[in-house]
Amino acid sequence: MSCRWVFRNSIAETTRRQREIAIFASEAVRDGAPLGARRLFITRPTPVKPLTALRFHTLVMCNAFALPLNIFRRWGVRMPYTLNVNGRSTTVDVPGDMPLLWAIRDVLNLKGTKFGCGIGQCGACTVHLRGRAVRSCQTPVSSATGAPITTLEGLSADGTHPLQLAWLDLDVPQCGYCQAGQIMSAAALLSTNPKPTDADIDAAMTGNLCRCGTYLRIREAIKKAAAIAPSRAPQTARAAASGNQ
Amino acid sequence: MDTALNRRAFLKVTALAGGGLLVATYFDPLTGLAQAPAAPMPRFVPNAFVKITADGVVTIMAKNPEIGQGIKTSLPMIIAEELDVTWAEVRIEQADLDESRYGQQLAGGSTATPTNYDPLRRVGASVRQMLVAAAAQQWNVPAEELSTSAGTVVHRASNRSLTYGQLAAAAAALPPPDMAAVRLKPAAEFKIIGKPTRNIDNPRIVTGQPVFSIDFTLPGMLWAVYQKSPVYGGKVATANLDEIKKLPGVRHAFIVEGTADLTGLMPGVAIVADSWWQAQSARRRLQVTWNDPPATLQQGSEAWTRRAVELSTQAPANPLRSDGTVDQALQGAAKVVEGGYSYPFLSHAPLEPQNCVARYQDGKLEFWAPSQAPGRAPAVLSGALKVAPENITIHLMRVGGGFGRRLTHDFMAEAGAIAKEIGVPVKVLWTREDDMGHDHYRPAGFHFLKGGLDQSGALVAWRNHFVTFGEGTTYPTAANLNPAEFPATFAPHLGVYASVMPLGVPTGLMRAPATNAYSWVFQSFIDELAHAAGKDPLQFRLDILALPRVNPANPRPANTAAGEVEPARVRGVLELVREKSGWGTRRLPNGRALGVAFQFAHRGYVAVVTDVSVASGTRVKVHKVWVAADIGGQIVNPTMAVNQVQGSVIEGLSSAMSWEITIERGRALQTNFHQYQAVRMAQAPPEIQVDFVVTNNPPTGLGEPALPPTIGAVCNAIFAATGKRIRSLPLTKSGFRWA
Repeated sequence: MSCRWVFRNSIAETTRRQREIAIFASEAVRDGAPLGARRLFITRPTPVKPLTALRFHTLVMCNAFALPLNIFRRWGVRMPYTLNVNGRSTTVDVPGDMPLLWAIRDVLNLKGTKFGCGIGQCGACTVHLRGRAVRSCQTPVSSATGAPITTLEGLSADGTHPLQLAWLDLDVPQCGYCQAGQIMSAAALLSTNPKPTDADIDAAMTGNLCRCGTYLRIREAIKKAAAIAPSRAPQTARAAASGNQ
Repeated sequence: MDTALNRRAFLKVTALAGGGLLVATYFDPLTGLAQAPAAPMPRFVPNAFVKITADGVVTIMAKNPEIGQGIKTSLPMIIAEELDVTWAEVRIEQADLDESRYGQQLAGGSTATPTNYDPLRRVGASVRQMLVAAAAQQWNVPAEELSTSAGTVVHRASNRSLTYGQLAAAAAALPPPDMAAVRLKPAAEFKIIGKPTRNIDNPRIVTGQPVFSIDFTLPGMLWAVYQKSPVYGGKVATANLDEIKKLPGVRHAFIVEGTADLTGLMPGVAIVADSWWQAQSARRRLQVTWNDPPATLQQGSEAWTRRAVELSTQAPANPLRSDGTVDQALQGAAKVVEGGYSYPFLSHAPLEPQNCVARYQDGKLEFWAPSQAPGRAPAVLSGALKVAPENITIHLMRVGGGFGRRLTHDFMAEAGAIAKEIGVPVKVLWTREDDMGHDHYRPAGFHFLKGGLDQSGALVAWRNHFVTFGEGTTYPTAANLNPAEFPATFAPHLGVYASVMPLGVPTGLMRAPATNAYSWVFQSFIDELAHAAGKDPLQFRLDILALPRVNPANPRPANTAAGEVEPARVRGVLELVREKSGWGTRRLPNGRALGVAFQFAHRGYVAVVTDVSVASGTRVKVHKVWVAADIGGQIVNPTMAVNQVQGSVIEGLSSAMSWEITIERGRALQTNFHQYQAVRMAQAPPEIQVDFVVTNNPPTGLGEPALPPTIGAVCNAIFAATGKRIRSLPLTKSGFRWA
C-alpha cells in the first residue's frame, strides 16, 4: 500500500498536540509506551516524536488535497462539500477542517462510525476512503470531498458481508463499541489480501484498539470471513441508515 | 432456595388490550446478599418483566445496564428458560431505570448473576405456571397433566395445545402464584441456560445501527463541551466567555459553579453549540484562569513515592489484622524475604467517551446515559442539580465499555446542569483528554512485605505494611485492603497494617477493584517465598492452603465476595490449571517459562498460568494463557463467559505492561491512548484457554475475577524466565516491552 504524507499545516505552526495526532497507532505501539524514565515507581509520558511516523506505511491519514484547500479554509469558514458516502452523494455545509468523522456522524447521521480518541490512536472511526482504511477523525472533510467513502452501514446491502456474518457467528463483540472500526479495517485488509496470514492480520489490525480485549475472536472471524469469500470486495450499496432507536 | 427474597416477592398480572398479558413483579433480590446495599421496601408497582401479546409475541425486559458483559442477553435467558419459550422468537427490550420494579439495576461488582439468577428463574416459572393454569381451566383438566414447550401448553392425553398468546388473556385474569413456591426446572432440562447464546445486540452492532449512548439524539438537541480545571477541585476564576459566544455555532457559554464533590459536578465552563464539532472548536479559543486547591497542587506521584518509602520505615498507623506474633515469628524464621511493591494510578479508559443527553422540562430532568449505576444517580444528582430525586428519569443506554468508570455520575451531572441552564435538550460529550484527565482513578499503592519460612520451607510469617491514601482510618474508594486477603487465615503469624497519605485526586472502582492492584503484589511475593523455599510455586500455594487455619471467620458468611477463601475451591482451580497447562511437565527453551497466580474476587475463584518468553532480556511475548475458573454450578451463557475471561486476561496484560497515570501538581500527565497503551492484537496471546471447575455453589459473575491473577501470573513467568523479580508496575518501567 502506498502512502502519501502531507502535513496539513506547516511544521512550524504545528502544536505539540497536533504532532502527536500525526502518529500512527502502529508506531505508537512501538514507541509510545513510556520508556524514557526508568526510575523506581515513576514514569513520565514520553513526548511523541512526530517524524518517526514517516517510517511506517500502514494507513493514509492525510491527503494531498488537504494542503491547498486548507490554506483558504481557515477555522470556522463553512463551505459546501460533496461527500459520497455509501454510494449516496450529499452536500454538507461545514468547516473544511471538520473531521470526516463528525460529518458522517452528526451531519449525515450515520452513527456506526465511532469517536474514541480523536487522534488516530484507537481506530474506532475507521472508514474506507477511496477503498482504503482511514481514520475519519484525522481526515478533514475537505480532503474527502468527491471521493468514495464507505462506512460500516454501507459495507453490505443487508448485513451479509462475510466479515459481518463471521462476527455474528463467533459472537465477537463485548461492549461492541470498537467493532465498526475493526470490521472496516478487516474489510480493507481482505479487499487487498484475501488470504491473510496471522502476521498480515496483526499488521492490518494493530491500529484498532479493543478495550474489552476481543482480539482472539476478531482474528478468528477474519480468517473465517476469508474462508467464506476469499476475494469478495466491499460493497457500497447499502442505503444510509439513520435515526435513533 | 428458600431465602428472604423469595418470601418477599410478589407478582401482579395485568391484562393487555387485545388479549395480552403483562406480568408485574416486585421483588427485592438483594436481601440476603452480602455487600449489597439494603434496598428500601418500595411501593408495589406493576412491572413489565414479561409481556405476551395475543399474537404470541413474548417480550422480556433486560433489567440491567449492558456494558459489554452480556447481561442484556443473559438475564433474559434466565427468564426465557423457565418460561419455556423459544429463545430465537423472544424479543428483548432494555428496561429504563425503575428499581422498585426491577430490583437493583447495576453493572458492578460482578453481582448481576448472583443477585438475579434465582429471582429471574422464578419470574419465568411463575408466568409459565399461570399460562398452564389458564389452559387447565379452559380444558377442565388438572394442571399436572399439562406440559409446556416452545411457548405452547400441551395436553398430551387429549392431543390438545394452545399457544401462550392464545392463553394470555385468560392467564391475566388468574391470581398470580407465590413466586417462592413455583416449580423450577431441573438443570438437566435446560434448553437456554448453559447454551452458548449470541449477544442479542450483535446484528445491530455489526451493521452500524445506533445502539450506543453516544448515538442517541433528541430533536432540537444542542451539543456541549465542558472544560474543567486540569487540577482536581479547581474553580473558575475568569473565562473569556464573551469571545467564545461570538464563535460560529456557539449558543451559550457560561460558568458552572459546581460542587466540592470530586466525582460529581465539578466547577467548569460549558460551551453549547449547534454541533459538537463547533463546541469543541470554540473550546480551543477558551481561556480560563483557575483557582486550584493549593494542597492538591503540591501532590504528585513522585512526592507520594518518597513519602511512602519514608512511612515504610516508621511504625504503621493502622493495624488491620493480627494473627499470632508476626514480628517475633519473623525474628525466629529460618529465612526471611523482604520486598517493596508499588503500582500506579490507572485510568479506566472505556472506548466510548463519557456522554449524556439531558432534558429539563417543567422542573423535571430526564437523562439518557451510559451509566453503570443508574439507580444511584437520582440521589447523587439531586443535590448538585437541585431537582428532587422523584423528578429525575433515567433511560439506560448501551454502554461502550464500563470498567467501573460509569459507576459515578459526573458526566450526567454536567449534562443536567447545562440542560437546566439552557432549557433545551443537550448532549454533553467528552473528549478522550477530558476522560483521561478527569477520571476517578484506580489508586496507586505501596506494599512493604516481609515473609518468614521455617527450616522445611513452610510459611510461618507474613507481614504487610500497606502505604495507601486517606485520612486517619478512612480510605478513598478502592484504596483500602481486605485484611482477610490470602494468605490470611493460613499464615501462622500474620500482621497487616496501613499508613495513609492525603490525596486530592478522586479515585474510583475499576474492574476487579482492590484485587486488580494487590493480587499481583501478594501472588508475586508468594512466588518469591516459594523460590526462597526451593519449592514449586504452584505446589507452594497448595501447601499454604493445607496449613492449619488461623482465626478463620466462624461461620464464614455465605456470600463472602472477596478476602477469606474457601481452600477447597482454590485447590480446585489450581489443580485444574496445573493439569491443563502441563505445569511441571513442559520443557521450555531458555528465556521462556510458566508463571502461576490465583485470586478469589467477586465470589469467583480463578487460577491463571501464563507461558511467557522474554527475548533479549526485555521483549515479552505471552504465548498462551490457561485460565481455570470456579463460578459455581451453572454458567448462564458459556460464549460470553469465555469472552469475559479472555478480555479480563488481555486487560490484565495492558495493566501489567504499560498502564500508568502519573499525577504531577494535582493533575494527570497522560492525555490519550498514545500515552496509555492498551494491548493490541499483535500483543495479545494467540491462545487463552478457559476451563471451568463446576462446583455445587450458586452461580456467580465473571466480569472481573479473571483479571487480577493474570498480572501476577505474567510477572511470575517473567521471573522464572529471566530471574528478574518485578516489584513495580507497569513493566515498561523496568525496561520491558512487547516483543
